[in-house]
Amino acid sequence: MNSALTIFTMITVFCVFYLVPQAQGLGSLVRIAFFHIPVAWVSVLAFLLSAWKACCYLRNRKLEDDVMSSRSAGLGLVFCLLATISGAVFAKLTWGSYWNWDPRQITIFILLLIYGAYFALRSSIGEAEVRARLAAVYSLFSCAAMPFLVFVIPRYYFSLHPEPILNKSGSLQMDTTMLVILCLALIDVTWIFFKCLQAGKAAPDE
Amino acid sequence: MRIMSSGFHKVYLILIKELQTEYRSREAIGSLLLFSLTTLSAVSMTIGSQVLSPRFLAVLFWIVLFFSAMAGLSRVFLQEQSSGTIYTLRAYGGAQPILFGKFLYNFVLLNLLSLFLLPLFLAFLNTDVYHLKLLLLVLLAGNTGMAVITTLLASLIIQAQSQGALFTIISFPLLLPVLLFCIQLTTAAFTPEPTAAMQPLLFLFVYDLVMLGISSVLFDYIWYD
Amino acid sequence: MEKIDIEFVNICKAFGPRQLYAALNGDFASGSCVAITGNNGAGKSTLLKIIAGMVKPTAGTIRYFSIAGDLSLEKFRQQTGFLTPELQFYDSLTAKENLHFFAGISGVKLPENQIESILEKVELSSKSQERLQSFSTGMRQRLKLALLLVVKRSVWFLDEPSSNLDRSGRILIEKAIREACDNGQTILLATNDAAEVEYADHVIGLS
Repeated sequence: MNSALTIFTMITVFCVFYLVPQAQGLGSLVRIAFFHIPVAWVSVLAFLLSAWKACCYLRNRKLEDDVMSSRSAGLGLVFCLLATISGAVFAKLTWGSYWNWDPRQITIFILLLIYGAYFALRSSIGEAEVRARLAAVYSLFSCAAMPFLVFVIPRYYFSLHPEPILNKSGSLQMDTTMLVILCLALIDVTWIFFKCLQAGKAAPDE
Repeated sequence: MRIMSSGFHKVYLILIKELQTEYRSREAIGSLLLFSLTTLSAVSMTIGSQVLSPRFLAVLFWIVLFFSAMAGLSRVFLQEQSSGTIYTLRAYGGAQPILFGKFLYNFVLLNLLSLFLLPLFLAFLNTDVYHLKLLLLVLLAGNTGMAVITTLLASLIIQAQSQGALFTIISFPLLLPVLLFCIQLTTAAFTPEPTAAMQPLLFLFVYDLVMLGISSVLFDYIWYD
Repeated sequence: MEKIDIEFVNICKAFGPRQLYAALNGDFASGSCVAITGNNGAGKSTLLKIIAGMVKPTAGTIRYFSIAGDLSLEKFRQQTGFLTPELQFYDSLTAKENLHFFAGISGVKLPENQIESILEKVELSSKSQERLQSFSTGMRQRLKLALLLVVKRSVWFLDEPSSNLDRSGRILIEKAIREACDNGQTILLATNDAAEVEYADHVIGLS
């Protein structure tokens, strides 16, 4: 399976670099978006998966669910960092400053905070079962807050304070080719995520 | 014949007990008020007679309130743990009345703090309130949100190390919606123009309700092994 | 108060690498008094907590039965009473206030005269208006007994109940246990004290 993934990744990278047409106004920089968007998407996916496994743990009390939850969150944190950094770089190159607190940046930043808090909580509890139970509760609690953090705040908080509206990456004009390649990139990064998840499973637990 | 007490009565008993023990020791309220006074004084002294925009004032107000909350609201469970009474509570008390009783207590504490802080804030920083009703509503809604979240998270860190720092770290992301909306609404309250600020207020109430509901569902998993 | 039988099968408990017990089984009917004995660290208190539903075992099942049939853990928790060393009261409240509070949150509304009579029974009535700060450990132990008696629960979990008590206190404990057994209450008693083991009909020895 590894070779299939490697080939697929290579194809995607090729498409991003050679097949993606120059975007209006952004030029070649638009390629960063093909990294940034999938990576951000996966960080949210990882969060949801972690919360789902947390729910499973609370029901069945099997430590494997907690291990999976924690691993998913760990990967999610990495992807979230990548998303934040790539987003900041994109912002700098396109609009001149790294951080503007635009809606997407708010969301990714909050997600980063939640991941950080989750691991801070985990590392401060010694017993495995107690840690699993309490981390699961925090995971679910923050999951409940997610809709507000992701949808409500960016739209309502931001919209009442019109700053010079910079182009939000979500409203990039994309033609069909770009969309297809974006989907390709999405699938690729999601696949990588699941591969890492499985690989961690095979490795001995700390 | 035994008379059984209802859930509401239990919540009431817990609230009264918290208020009673607090009244006799005055630890929590003392630290909350002193903390907020110190922070407010420091800000006011450095700002001097400079006039601040409504937005800046709103931010300052909620920052002081937030950090005071972080300083004082985790005691509601951590003190039970350190005094050993948490075992008796676990042995004889049900989870839900304990959650709601302590949430109401934190809510009362926050409102007392707000009552103390607001007049001082208005005086020290020379602020005018143009929409008082809105401000009071925001305070109520904000305090509810803060009380709900801090109560649940305080119970989460009972068995953790470095509880002080951890409490702030895990509370902040979840309190962010409350803070952001409250700051926005308070800005509107400090601004002379009439405001149609209903939507953020509605979201705030909804967030409070959702968090309260989820706390109730999840608390059993925290309280019982 | 219901008559409750308890049965546990294959109970194991491990804290990380440290295994306490491998496969414990037991079965007691209501009205019996069971002593759990063992050296320090053998896991007597932990077993008590496991059976009480306060701690989850690593493996094994526990079942509770009333006359009506199987009892869920939630319902069982409403029937458990405790007298263990970790229980503490609020130092800034008086004995009366503490009793009133804990009995209240356990579901029992206590009229004034009942509180007074129970405090008299445990020989604490002269101290009823004093704050717990001034209480000795023996007096606190008596207050724990008072609370246990007042909540009238079907199953008792006692962990070294006579510790810190003088002779009259020990007699109180013995009397309370015997009356509870006669009443059909189920009693689990974790102890190292030979005299306390005497109160029991069955003994589980942990190694």
